Amino acid sequence: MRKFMIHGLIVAAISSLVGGLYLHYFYALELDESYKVLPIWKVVSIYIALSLFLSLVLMIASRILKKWGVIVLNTVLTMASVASIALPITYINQEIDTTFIAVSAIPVHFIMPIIWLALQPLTFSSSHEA
Amino acid sequence: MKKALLPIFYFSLLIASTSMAVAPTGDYEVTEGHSIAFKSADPSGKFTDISGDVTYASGSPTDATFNLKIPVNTISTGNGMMNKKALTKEWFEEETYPNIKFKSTSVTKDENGELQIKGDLTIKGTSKEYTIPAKVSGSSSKYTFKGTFYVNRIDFKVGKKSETVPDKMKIVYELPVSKKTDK
Repeated sequence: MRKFMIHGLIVAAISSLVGGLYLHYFYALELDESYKVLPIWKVVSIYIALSLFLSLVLMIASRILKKWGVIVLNTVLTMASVASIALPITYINQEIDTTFIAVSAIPVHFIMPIIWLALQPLTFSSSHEA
Repeated sequence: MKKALLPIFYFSLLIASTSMAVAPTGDYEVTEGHSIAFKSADPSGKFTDISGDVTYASGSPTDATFNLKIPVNTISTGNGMMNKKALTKEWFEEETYPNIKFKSTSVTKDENGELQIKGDLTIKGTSKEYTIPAKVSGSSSKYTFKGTFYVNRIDFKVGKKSETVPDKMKIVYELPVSKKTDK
């Protein structure tokens, strides 16, 4: 249980940092008003919640499906990340200027999943569970 | 004990981040330039102060919430004697019920693009469900909600039935709100 929690916490911390810095520098360009619909605090809180929630799901999936649990969850996460870019692509808001919403939001959909997948070999390399 | 620290921290963070993740993106407060006027054949006037919090996101207007307060002692009818009388037990009973309150319960958008804000209007200790229409203008840093609706003062026991003072008062309001914090 401990290794799943640690994995979730590490992914939450790194993805929040990367996502927060990316949006901070993107919004500094002042291209449009995308920051009004996609505030940094919101993205960071979604990353943290999602990382921790997914690590809980992974723990349950690993117990039920053994090694297949990781494979199934990673596949679902990857597919969901790709499918979710439909949201910023089709987003319409006539009240504010969101010309670059897709440009700012699409990378945000991949930051957390990439870090989640990248850190798994490190987190689960040890067979010892505390 | 040390072993319990990680799960405690983990689940606390999970709950806190989830509540932030599902929270509406825009937190606003009422700013200067607001007006709330009541109109009838006799009397007419306004309340000079209104305060409260609004959450609103242009992308999801139906998630908006309104929590507003109007101190009844800010009533202004243009007649000092009438202002004092309005605060007496027969009318607003300011000593016991110093504020008029409105707290929204749901918001819908009609076919004209206007918001229909349903909520509990509390006057003189009595709460009634009202739906207040609102036209929204502005952009994310500052929005203005304005509209007109009618309140039946008898529902709230404000004054008695009278031939000179109508039961239904027309309320015309304008509510500018500005963002509490940026990003």
